[in-house]
Amino acid sequence: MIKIDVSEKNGWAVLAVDGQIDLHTSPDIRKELAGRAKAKKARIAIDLTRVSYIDSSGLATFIEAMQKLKKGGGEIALCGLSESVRHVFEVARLDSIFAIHASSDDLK
Amino acid sequence: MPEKKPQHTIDLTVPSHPQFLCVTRAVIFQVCHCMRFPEKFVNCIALAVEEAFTNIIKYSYGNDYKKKVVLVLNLYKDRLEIVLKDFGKKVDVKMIKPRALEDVRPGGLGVYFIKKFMDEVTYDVSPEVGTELRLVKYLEKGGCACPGAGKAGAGGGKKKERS
Repeated sequence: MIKIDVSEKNGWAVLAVDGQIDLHTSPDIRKELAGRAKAKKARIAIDLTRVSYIDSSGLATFIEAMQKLKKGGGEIALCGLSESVRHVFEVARLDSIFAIHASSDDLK
Repeated sequence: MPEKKPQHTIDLTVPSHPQFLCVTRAVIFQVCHCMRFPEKFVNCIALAVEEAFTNIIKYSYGNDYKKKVVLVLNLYKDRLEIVLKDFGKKVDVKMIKPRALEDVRPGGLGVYFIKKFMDEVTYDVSPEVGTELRLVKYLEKGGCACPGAGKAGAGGGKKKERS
């Protein structure tokens, strides 16, 4: 089970994800992102503060969203990564590809 | 000389449905904690096993969620061996390779994580049906806390990649 709460902050749509991201749960996030990524110049932030685990299907979901958003002149940011989630991004060398913030409060 | 016989063995048969990935993950987490793997390894081992399981669902079973995956966890003093057995399409070992990290695109990271996080990765396609994937992680330090395990040997982060 995964829960996604959507809010607005400084012009960003903030998707706060609660749960563990794997092959079973990532389609829910993909669906939520796909709908929002269609808009031109969309700015989407994913708050991972309440995510303790992510696998490659989760990373693929975020890469796919980033590529769609870039095509439409939009942006994606990730916030609140736990140490273990951040480690997965680092090992895949995706920490330099995504804009990563300590918290959604840092979104400008 | 590595021990040939595990101190403990755990067998688990799991449906090939993604909803049970969390079950596999929970078992791996608990066993790793029980063996006193360093905390930094636990998530990595769970991720490697889950990526292997995911590949079985996707490629060996072609997303047929009604099959079975057998996990055999062999707990040694100095290492954890996880064998994942499927009964689907055989793996073509020559085709298994991670994507280049600079080629940023969705997919292709599962095999990379498996090889990155585990000390030994071996595919056995000799069974009549399906494939057996053997993953091994050595304890970096400390001992196994499982009942009757005694004092642990030290794997010392031994790296012996076979595939």
